[in-house]
Amino acid sequence: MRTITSRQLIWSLVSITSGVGILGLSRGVAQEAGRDGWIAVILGAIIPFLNLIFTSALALRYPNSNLALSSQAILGKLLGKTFSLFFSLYCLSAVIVIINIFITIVSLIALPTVPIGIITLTMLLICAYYASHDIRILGRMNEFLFYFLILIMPTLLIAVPYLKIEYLLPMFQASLPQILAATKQSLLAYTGFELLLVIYPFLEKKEELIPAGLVAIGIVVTTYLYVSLICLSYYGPIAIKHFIWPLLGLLDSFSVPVVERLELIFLFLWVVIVFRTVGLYIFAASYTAAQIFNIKSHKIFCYLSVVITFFFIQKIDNIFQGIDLGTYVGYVSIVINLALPLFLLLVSIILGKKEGKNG
Amino acid sequence: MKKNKLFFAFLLLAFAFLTAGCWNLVPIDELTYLVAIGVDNKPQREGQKISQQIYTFSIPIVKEKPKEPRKVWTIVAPSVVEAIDGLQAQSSKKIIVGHTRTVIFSEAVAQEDVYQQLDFYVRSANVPGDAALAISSGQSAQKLLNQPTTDDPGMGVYVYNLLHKLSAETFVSYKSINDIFIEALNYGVYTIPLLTMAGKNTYCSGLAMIKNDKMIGKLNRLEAQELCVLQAGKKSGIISYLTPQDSHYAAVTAKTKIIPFWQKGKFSFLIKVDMVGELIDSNLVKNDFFTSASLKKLEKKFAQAQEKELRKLMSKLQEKYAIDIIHLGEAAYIKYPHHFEEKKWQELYPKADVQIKVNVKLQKTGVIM
Repeated sequence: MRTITSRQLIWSLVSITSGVGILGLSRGVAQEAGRDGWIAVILGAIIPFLNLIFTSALALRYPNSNLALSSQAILGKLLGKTFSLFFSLYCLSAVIVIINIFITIVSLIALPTVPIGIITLTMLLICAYYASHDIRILGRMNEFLFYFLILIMPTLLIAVPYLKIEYLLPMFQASLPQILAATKQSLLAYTGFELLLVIYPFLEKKEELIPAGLVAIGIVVTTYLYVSLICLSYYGPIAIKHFIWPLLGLLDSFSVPVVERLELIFLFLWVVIVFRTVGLYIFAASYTAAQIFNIKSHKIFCYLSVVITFFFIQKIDNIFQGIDLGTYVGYVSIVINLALPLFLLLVSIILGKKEGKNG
Repeated sequence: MKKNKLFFAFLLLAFAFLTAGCWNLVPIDELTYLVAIGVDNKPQREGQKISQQIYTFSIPIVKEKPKEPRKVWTIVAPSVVEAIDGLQAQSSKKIIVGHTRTVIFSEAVAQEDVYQQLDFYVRSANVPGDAALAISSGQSAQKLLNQPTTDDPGMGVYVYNLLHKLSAETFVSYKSINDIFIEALNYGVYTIPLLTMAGKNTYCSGLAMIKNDKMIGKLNRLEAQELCVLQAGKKSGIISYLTPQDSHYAAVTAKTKIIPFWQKGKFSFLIKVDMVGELIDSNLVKNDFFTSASLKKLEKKFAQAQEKELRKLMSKLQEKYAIDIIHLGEAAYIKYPHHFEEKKWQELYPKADVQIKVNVKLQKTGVIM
């Protein structure tokens, strides 16, 4: 089996998570908890953290079997395949959500005259081509492209002289229900860790799963917190609710000599991030599908994913439908993140199943 | 493997081709760039249901050595979108709003509803968020945009540059159209620079105060500077101490802190302003020198003069306009969130006790004693 290093696993997990959620996260949390929205950004990390714990426990029992194989071993072929198929479809719906937001932004800001269908198809085809390779290539690519995320972060520092710390004060005034409602919003931005169920068997040294996962969570939380604090202290708790993508609006507010339109530079770097996120979701969907149907190569499913997702993306009429769909997919993701690995783990413990033993 | 590489190369080429816009290339001289937009109210005729506005567009001429640097077009329409549409109908070139530098409202427009007017400029992803917003004081926006400028290609670029440069020496920091929109949402009270024409010159003559999205008053240039000093934060500018006998100027950086107090069920405030800077002009008599003691005296005089002016402005803001533009309410809420009631604050603000304390420290006196 082709393997990835723990460093490549870190970059892959960071790539999957920090896709489009980062753009609207600060609005989502501020809508519910106002000035204290940033607290929810930290609390939201509970989902990937619990997923990591449950998946690691499952990995102890099934170190070399991914979701499709372990679920069949634990639940039996029919139920296992049903679970895996559901997971595959979920991954495709995540692709639909991400690509829809991506094309809305790109066609709004950078490519207003290029037909949306062409942007969608081009992006999907490139992502499918990327996903059609084996995990080692994906891991290397993620490691290489991770540095684009690092390049994006300093661009936000341009707003620092204009930030108002008063917008974050007084702290801790939101009630517990408000913080919890905001956390629900932030959970949507942490979706993506569920792909660990597909990726973990590829890890070279299985004992590094938890440390690598924790580092990945740490990077994502730090990035989200950094972006949310900057956006909140730039817009304030009321104005931020009026901007669909506060991060893009913030970059639009500043002009840099030579570059002038800063948001275009951000967009250029962000395309690379979305490319990896979508690519990894297509990989997870097609790799799982290939194992359900006992087909050796997942390549055909990658391109089949393009057809399916392209068709459904055309059915989304406006950005609000896309955001609503994203919310529903986010809730499903929370269930998959927590319930799926926990359920498989509990059943395997109760039935005393382990890799190489009864399964 | 070779097939894959070819496929990838094809995708890359297709992506580059489609995104670079080569297939429907529009040469630059077939485009028209709006640099400034002026908005005036058109008097409503009897029986007219939809109010019309006069939109003035300043457009630079994209040509080598043009006879005139720009053209100014005027269109009457109910909204900016229709006005741009109307302009497009009169132009053989494609109109681009992505280079808009300045938006100017007339006073009458600002007195009606500023927030509604801002929607298009903030909502559009093409209009730069850092464009300048100003109010034409005493004359129409149309007249202002027709005013010739000396250095810049047109009033749009001139105003944009003027408002940016102001912040270095006048305490008045630059606020973009996005910044003003954000303030409008967060506070409901904000300021917009005023532009005045004097002969062939156009200058920033102060700030317009906006409350509930309507212009309620004007501050002159000095009051505008004082207002910015009163607002919490750090900014730079020039202060003066002028009497019939004395005239002294200092370039300072002012750091303002608003300290609220809650005593006996009432809010009171101390606005502490620390100014540190350099003496840049002084009418010392010949053979007279500054000493440590005389400099201290001068610092005190500067501080007293500033305090007096700031107090005068503060009572104007409280009593005449009842506008909490320096955000005392926000400071009170931050320190005493459980005692602060936003609804009651509107009534309490005009009577709130506000003390102002200014400290001036002249660290440098230039190169002469």
